[in-house]
This record gives sequence, structure tokens and C-alpha cells, in this order.
Amino acid sequence: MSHVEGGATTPQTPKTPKYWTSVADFEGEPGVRDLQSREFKTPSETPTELPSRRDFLKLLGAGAAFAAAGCARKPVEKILPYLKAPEEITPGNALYYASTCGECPAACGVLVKTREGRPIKLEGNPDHPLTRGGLCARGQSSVLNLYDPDRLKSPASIQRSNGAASAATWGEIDKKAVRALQQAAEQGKSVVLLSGTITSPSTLALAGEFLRSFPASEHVVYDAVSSDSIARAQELSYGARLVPGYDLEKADVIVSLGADFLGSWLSPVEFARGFSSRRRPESGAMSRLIVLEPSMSLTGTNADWRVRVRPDDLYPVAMALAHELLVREPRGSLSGDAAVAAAVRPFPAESVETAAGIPQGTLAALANELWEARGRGLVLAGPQAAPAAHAVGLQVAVNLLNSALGNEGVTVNAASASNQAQGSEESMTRLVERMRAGDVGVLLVYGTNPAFTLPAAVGFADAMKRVPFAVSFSDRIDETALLGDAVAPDTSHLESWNDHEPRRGVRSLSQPTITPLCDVRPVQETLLAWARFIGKGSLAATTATWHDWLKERWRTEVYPAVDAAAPFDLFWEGALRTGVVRLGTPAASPRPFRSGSMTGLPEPAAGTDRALTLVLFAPTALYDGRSANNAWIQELPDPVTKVAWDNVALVAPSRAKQLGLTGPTENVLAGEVIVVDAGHAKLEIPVFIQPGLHPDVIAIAVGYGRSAAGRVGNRVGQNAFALAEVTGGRIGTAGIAVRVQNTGRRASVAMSQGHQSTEDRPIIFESTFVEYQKDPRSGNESHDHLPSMWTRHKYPGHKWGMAVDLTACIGCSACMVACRSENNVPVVGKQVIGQGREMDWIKIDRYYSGDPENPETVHQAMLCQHCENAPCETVCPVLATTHSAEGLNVQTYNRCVGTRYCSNNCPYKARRFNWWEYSEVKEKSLRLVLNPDVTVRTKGIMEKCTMCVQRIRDGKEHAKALGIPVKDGDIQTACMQTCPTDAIVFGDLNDPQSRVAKLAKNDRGYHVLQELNTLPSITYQTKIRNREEGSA
Amino acid sequence: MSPQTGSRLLPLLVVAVLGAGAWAFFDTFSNIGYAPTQPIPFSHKIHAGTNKIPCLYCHSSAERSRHATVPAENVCMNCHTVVAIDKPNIQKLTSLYQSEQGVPWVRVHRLPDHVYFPHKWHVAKGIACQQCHGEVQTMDVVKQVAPLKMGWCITCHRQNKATQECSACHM
Repeated sequence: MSHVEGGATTPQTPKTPKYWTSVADFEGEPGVRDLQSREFKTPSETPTELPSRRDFLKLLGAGAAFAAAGCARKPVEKILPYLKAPEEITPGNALYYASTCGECPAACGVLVKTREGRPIKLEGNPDHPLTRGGLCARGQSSVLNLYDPDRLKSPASIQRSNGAASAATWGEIDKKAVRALQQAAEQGKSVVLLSGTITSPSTLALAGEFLRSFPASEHVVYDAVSSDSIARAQELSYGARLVPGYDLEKADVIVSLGADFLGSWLSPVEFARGFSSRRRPESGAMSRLIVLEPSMSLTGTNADWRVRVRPDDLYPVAMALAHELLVREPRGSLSGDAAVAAAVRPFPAESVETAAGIPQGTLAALANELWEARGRGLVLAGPQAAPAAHAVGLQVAVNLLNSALGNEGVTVNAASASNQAQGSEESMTRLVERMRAGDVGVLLVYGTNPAFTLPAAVGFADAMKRVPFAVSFSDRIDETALLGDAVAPDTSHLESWNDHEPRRGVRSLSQPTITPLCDVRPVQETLLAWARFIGKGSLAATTATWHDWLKERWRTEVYPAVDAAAPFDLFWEGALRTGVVRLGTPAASPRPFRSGSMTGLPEPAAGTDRALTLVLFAPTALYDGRSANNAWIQELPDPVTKVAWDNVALVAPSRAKQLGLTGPTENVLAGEVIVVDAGHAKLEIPVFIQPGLHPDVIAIAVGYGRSAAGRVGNRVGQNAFALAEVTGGRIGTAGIAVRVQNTGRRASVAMSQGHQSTEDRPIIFESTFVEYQKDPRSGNESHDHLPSMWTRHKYPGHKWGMAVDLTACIGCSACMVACRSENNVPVVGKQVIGQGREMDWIKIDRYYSGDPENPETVHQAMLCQHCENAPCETVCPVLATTHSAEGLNVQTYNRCVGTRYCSNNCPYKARRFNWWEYSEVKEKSLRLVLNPDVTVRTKGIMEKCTMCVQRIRDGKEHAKALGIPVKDGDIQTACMQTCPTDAIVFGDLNDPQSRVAKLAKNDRGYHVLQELNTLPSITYQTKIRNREEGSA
Repeated sequence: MSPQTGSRLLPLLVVAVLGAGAWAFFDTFSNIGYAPTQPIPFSHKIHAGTNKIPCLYCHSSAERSRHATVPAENVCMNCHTVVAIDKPNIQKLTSLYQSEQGVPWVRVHRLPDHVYFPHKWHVAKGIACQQCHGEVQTMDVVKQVAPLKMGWCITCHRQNKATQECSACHM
């Protein structure tokens, strides 16, 4: 099979399926095809928005104004040197500090890049044992939060009567708080700390000491994205309340029942690392991922076998799996247990399959597969994937499966349990009751925002009225702070000391990389100050600062637990340098399963209620909405829907047809607005047709619809948390019966994909692992050497290139934010994205193939291919885009006059044009995040991926200074550095020993549109799915 | 030459003439000779000329970084806690230092933001500071002597067989 004959049009290889990007694309709607064939859309084709939007965007577009050079006399510029130069800082040179990401409780290891004393980028810490250099999109974004102009500049007092806020001094806040704390103690009322999960052992200990000095006190932990059902079920099945660690790198077969472990659940970077380490076809073995889920999660898009299951069927399916393994064909140690058998007997596979509408034999096949991989498998279930009434039962069933299969103690690791989700829904709802009863005298709110995330049914706002004094440690006056009396703003995680223990035995440090930008104080200092004022308890006498306290705890607790030969001070310095230490933890060993936990589990449902059911999910980008005011997060398109700046109601294609609903398509960038009515609450939200969704399901992302996040995040999307329901103290986010009603209105929805077309040319090659083992070139048979009119370039020194592995890439989009951060890529906003003018230098395209009701998915990173025969170079009239001696296709901004010929001629559509002056920034603080090594581009010029030419330069200069050759791996592009799955490899193609050179030549390597003979420097590796032929 | 060819060449000619005009126009406005008054009349002539203090003693970053940098005030105070403390300008400097205020020096040499110029590698190659900055050791008030324009950079790079890659300076 050859790609040569026929020139531009290429016949498809038999294995290459037809790919499509949406249902409209699949069905070949003429308007869509017509639109995709055009290079640039005109603004009139897109919905218009209020003019204020433009001003608002200038707030976001990062950049410093260019000084006019040439005809005008240069502006007088001042130089203010250091007064006393810090010894370690050389202006112009970056410094890196090992620290810990504070964006979410996953607490990944990071290196903070600082320039002249300001943090400008986060990178994954390669020495961190869990994340090993990876960092997710949210972690990458979190550096922007530091410079958020909407952060509180000082503490604030809130008027309860009208919610009016006024700036206050720390003295005033301290006085107020101390008086309230003393009053609560006198009246015998409770002092309650309500926090999100705190992964810091030292902060937990300090908070504990603080609370102990009051006669009545409590620490309530509440996570909006909760893993409470796992902890509860572990307590029932094994005796201790914990969330175990999951070691995915040991799993040959992973069955996920609605757990989005690659997208947003628990510790996505760690899980992506572990998972992808077993997805290397070259190693001769590949793990298998089987996903049973109601919605279409990022994890689901990576499944080798995906089955759509209603949320209320997840628990019966898990029980039926146990039935298959333990009753129908008794296998393993737990098969003789009477209690277990009695519990699973009402769930025979056939009847569960019939009720759930999944093909007969599915569960038997699944059970066999799990049994074959016993001791090397893992069953996971989403803690919030099932209805509240089923949530714990589902997790108990999963515990049973893992114990019966011998996965417990191997892939399920309680010895190194996770501390990343400590929240308890029941204690939260109980706290609200106690607040309502007037038991709570003082409420301290830290790292959680219940007024936004709790459904109205819980009645948090009303209960707050009965709390005499509530203070929030939030960095802004958020929804919860508005209901209280005072805000004592905490520092950013980049401004203060802390420690973290994401999993038992892994301790990392956070260190300040900048003096606090506002008049803020670490929450720990605040607690210490209040304890001193009150003068009771163990903290009252201490004169220690928080840093002293933290260091002392490391001296007394961590230092003895590590096998360190050095004295403490040296050990401490070493720990600061590496950022993380490992404590000795016992090896994982199987815990005995308590079959008593199987009693009292839910019975099979009597009737078959096939009503529409709602699933709320935490999206990869916004998570629970904590950083909704971060423009990088808002602009990150959802990895599955590709919708940015909005949440939408996902509806399956068949259901949409039945209900007569139309979502946004490539040419109509607006979806019909529906009312989603859950009885206790309703929401008006645009429809989006999502392939792969269960037809009975409406799925909506939470985290949107903030009202007090700031100027960026307010009123973006709708707050779907409002639709959650409360059953017996548990908060249910799935399996909520809903009705939908079409309003007939349409609302604009912006997608970052779909405005350009592959015109059915094959740009993705895929095969199966079975085929791959027979022939590693499977799916990628054609490698043609085309004749060329051009003489080949000579690359005497380096020739930079990249390899992108479609098998390893999970589509998490961390690379997109890393690239924005590294390369000063501007944020453009919803309207401009809708016009197809997003600015990302690297984007992840998502293609479907097969049945729109349950398609297969592939994620493909698309960026400048740095072609040897670059079509852009030949058409530039001003030599602004040229070929470097090291194989880079370089763009010289100051030469560019904006003809856009290059973009027109680029077959990969990887070039981005500055339609607006995105570099104008009204908010000065946002300029501080810019990378001073990268030119900020102005209106009217073209830009694109440079392969991080500034990082290449740094790497070369480093080697030159040492007088050594550049070593493979020393230069990493920003996307490669952050990639949690090691899907991107950059290096020197001229060095035959480099990883990228080997990948470029391997059997899975191909070039996109190789028939054009552009000779790209980027090699893609074929997508290998680990499925049997026809089992999809 | 046919009349048709002539009419085709005419726009080119117009562009060429306008271009040459613009070139001449802009060049007259280059910043050669720019010598702003500084908040403290620091004399390079006294320091680098008379007293022969090496440039890199104060501009030490030039060896280690892309920026030569104006020295931090504590570098001034290395000497001026004992030297010339009776002079009013030194007293002004000392009081600024003691009250923790910076000296707002006026920048003389400025490259556009889209240019990466590493002092480090130019110093490492043994290029004298004077080659671009002029005979600073003779200046009481520093003034710009070189045009600092791309053509001027490239000429030197060409003569010395240094890199002429676009991405060497533009990224």
C-alpha cells in the first residue's frame, strides 16, 4: 500500500477508520463542511457579545507594551537596581526552587522557576516519587493565581446585613476574632474549623493544637469533589477509615466503574504516570483499561473497552461481577463465604445485564478477564459516580472484588494510603445541623467554599445566620466569606511555608518563592497569633513563627524517620533542595476482607425506571471551581467536549434526536438552552451533543457559575452543584432524576476544535496490540520516500525534533497550559475562540471513530511540525519565517507584516495570528507572570510553536559554559517537561543515540500528511489499542 | 524594455524609493549621542578612567548573565562608606541607601524587547566593552555611541563569523 500515487489525495489503509470531530461532522452536514474548508472565519458568522467583553479581555491578555523604536525618540526608561543585591540572584538568570503544588490536595511535586525574585512558571519535580516530573493543567495554571488582581489586598470586614465588605487591618481582624473565640469558649459553644482536605501534617497538627485549647471544638473536613464513600467503605470492609493508594503501574487490567482517574479524581498526575508506564507496546506487554461509565470522561476516552452504564446500574454491575466470580463459578478464597454469597446472590449477571441494557455475556467476559489477571488487576469505582444511596455499596462491592481477586495489598495499597481526600459528607451535613441549632460559636473556613459547592437543600446559607462569628481564610471574598464577618486572607502556596504528605511515607516541602504580594498572612501564622492573644493551650506560650514550628516538627518527626547520616540542618537543606523525602513505610500487604460489610447493602431495584438521569462531574480544567478566576483554566477547552469558557448539558446523540434538541455545531456556535429540572432545583443551560454518553444521561460539569470568584470567573457557565441532592447526610451528584424542557432559545458555545477539517485525509494511524505483536508496523505500513524538487537541508550540528506517542497521550491538556506559561501565549476569550482564532501553540485535538453512540477516541497533539520543506517558509514575502541551521522553523516577529500567507499555506493549521492587541494589559500584576525570555507579540503578526527555542538556547549555553556536549534529555520543551504520560519526547535527531532519533525511526513512527513531503521534524507514534478485534 | 514591463516595474520602483527615504528618515533618529542627565552625576571617567576600576568590578553580571546590569547600591557602598564621604553627591547616595531607596538611573542603552542580547557570550569572546559602548572611561556623562541597530549587529557578526541565525537573537 502506497501513499505516493494520486498526489494530494491518499487512499486510506484498511485499518484506518474514518475519524470525525462531532456528530454534525459524522453526518456530513453541508454547512459544516463548507465552513471547515475556509481558512479564516469572518466575525459576522459568530454570535456577537457585549462590547464590554473586549475591555475585559484586555485584562487577561498577558503582555507588556512594546516601546516604540525607530522614528520616535525612545521613551525615557528608569533602571532601579537592587539596594542590597541578594547573593543568589543574577538578573537575567532563572532560579528554581523545589516546592509542592497547592492547587489541589493531590499535592504534586513542583519546581518553581523564578526570575528576579518572581515565580513565572511551575514545572513538575522529576525527583518526586509519585509524579516524577509531571504536572497537570491546573497545576501549571496555578502560578497565575498568585498575580490575580482580584485577590484581597488586605483583610476585610463583612457587614452581615448587606454583605458589604470593607478593608480592615490585621489588628482589627485579630481583635474581632479573639473576642469571638473567647466568647464562644465562655458560652460553651463550639469552635469549628471547616476545611477542605489538608495534606500538610504540620498544618493539621497546628490546627489540632489550636482547637484543643477550646472546651468544645471540632475540625470538619469537606471536599466538594468527594471520595468519602471510598473511605467509608474501606472502614466497613477493612476496619480503618482511609482512602488507599492505588498503584496503577502494577495493574495489568484496570476496570473503572465511573472513576475518572486520568481526568480529575484524587491524583491524576500520579495515576497518569502509573497508567502510561504500562501502555508501551515496545515493552512487549500492555495493560488493558476497561471503563464502565455513564458519562464520557477523559478516562473513558482512553478505554480499550468502554461500556455505557447508567449511574444507578453501576452498583448492580459491580455486584453482578462479584456474582460471576464468587457464585456462578466460585473462584478464589472468598467464594466460600456465606455472607458474601448471600449478598451477591440477588445479582445474577443475566438479569443485571438485561436491566442495565448491556449485551449478554459482557460481565462474564469481564469477570474472566479480571480472574486471569488476579493479583495484577485493579477495580476502581468513582466515589461520586453512583447515586448517594448506592455510593458506599458500590465501593464495598469494589473492595470485595479487589480482595477476591488478590489485588488488595498489591495494586490497592493501604500501607501507603492516600491523604488526598479526607472529606466527610456526613460530618458536613451534620455540621450544618449543629450550626442551625446554634451550637457553633465560631466557624473558621479554610480552603473550601461550601456556600458555592453545597446544594441549596443543605441550607448552609441559612445555618450561617445562626453562627455568631464566621471568618474565612480565603484569598478573596468568595461565596462563603460573604456570609461571614471577616476575611483573614491566606497566602498563595508560592508565598509561604508548608509541608505535604500526599501518600503515607512521601513528605514534601513548600517554600516561599516571593514575599507576599498583598497584606496577607499564612493561615498558620494567623492561628498562632490568635492562640497567643487568647493565652490558653500549648500554642499560647510559643514565640515560634510558623516556619520555626514547621522546621521543629521536621526535626522531631521526619528527621528520625528517615535514615539520614547528616545532621539535621544538612538534612533540612537537602530536603529543601530536592523538595521531597521518603519515610520508611511498611510494604503493602493484603488486609482481610470483613464479609460483614456485605450485609445491609442495597437490594436490586424492583422496577426498571428508565427516566432521564443526571450526572454531575468535576471537569479536568475547572475541577470544583476553586480557581474559576484563572483565565488559563477557563480558556482550557475541556479535553472531551472541547468547549471553553462554559459548561454545557451533555446529551447523547440518540436522546437529542428523540427530544428534538440541537447543540452547537461547527457552523452554528450555539446550543439550544434547556431547563434541567431536578425537582428541588433547576438550571438553564445550553445543550451539547456528546458522543459516547449513555442515552439516559444528562451530564453537566460542576465548578462553573461562580458569583464571587472575580472579574474573570463570575457568571461563566451555570452552577451545577445546585442540582445535587442530599440523601441521609450524603451528597449525591449522580443518578438524580431530571426532566428537561426546551426553552427554544439558543446560547453561544465556543469550541476550540471543528473549525478546520482534515478533509478525510488520514492523519492518525492506529492498530490493535494483537496486530502490533504480529507486525509492529501494523496500521503504519506505508513509509514512502517521495521524490523532491528541493535539495535537502544540511544540519551540521543539531537537528531538533520531537516524537508524540498517540498511545501514551491521554489528552489531559497539561501541555497546552505549560506552553502558554512558558511562551506568553495570550488568553483570547470565548468569542474569539468561537471565531476559530484561539492562540494556543499546541493543542490537543480529539477525534472519534466508529459508532457515535459509543465511539472510540484518539487525542492528537497538534503543533508546528517544523517541516524541512516548510510550506510557510516559501510563501513569506518578508522572510519572517525561515529555516534555522538546526531544523527549526523560526518566526522573527519584528519582520512579520501580517500577510497570513504562511498560515494559509500551512497544511497543519498550526499558525496563530494576533487579531487583536492581546499584549495590552490593564492589570499590571498580570505582567509579572510573563517569561522575560520570550517576546510578547503585538497585533498583526503571526506566531507559532518555536519548540521552546529559548529553552534550547539555555540548554546549549549551559553545556557551552561547562564545555560539554548537550546531553540527550537536558533540553526539554515545556510540553515535554510537564507531560504526565511521557508522550512527548524532544531531542536531537542528529544524535543516533537520542530517544527522539530512535522513536523517529521505530516501526510506529509516521509523519502527519507525509504524502505532502513536507518532511516534518515531529514524528507521531501510531495509536495502539489493547483490544480484541471487534470487541470495541 | 517594453512599456508593459515598465508599468510592472513602476510599483517596485516606488516601493524602493519610499523604502530608501524611510531608511534615511529613521536613521537620523537613531539614538547615537543620547546622554541623559543622571540623578547622581556618576562619572565613569573618575571610576574607570582615573581610578582604573575594571568594568566588570561593578557590572559583574555581564560575565554571568545576558544583562550587564547597573550595580546594586551595596556595590557603591563597598567603597563609599570610606571614600569621598564628604562629597554632597556621595552623601546623597548614602542617605538614599540608608533610607532604603533606590537610585532611579536613566537608561542609556536600550535594545527592543524582541532582541535577545547576551552580554555573557560577548564578554567571554573577549570583546571589549568599549567596542559597543565607546570609550566610557573618558566619559563624565555616559552617552550612546553605537546605533545598536540590527544592521550594526549583523555587520560585526559577519566580520567575526559569528552566528547569523534569526533565532540567535529573536525568540
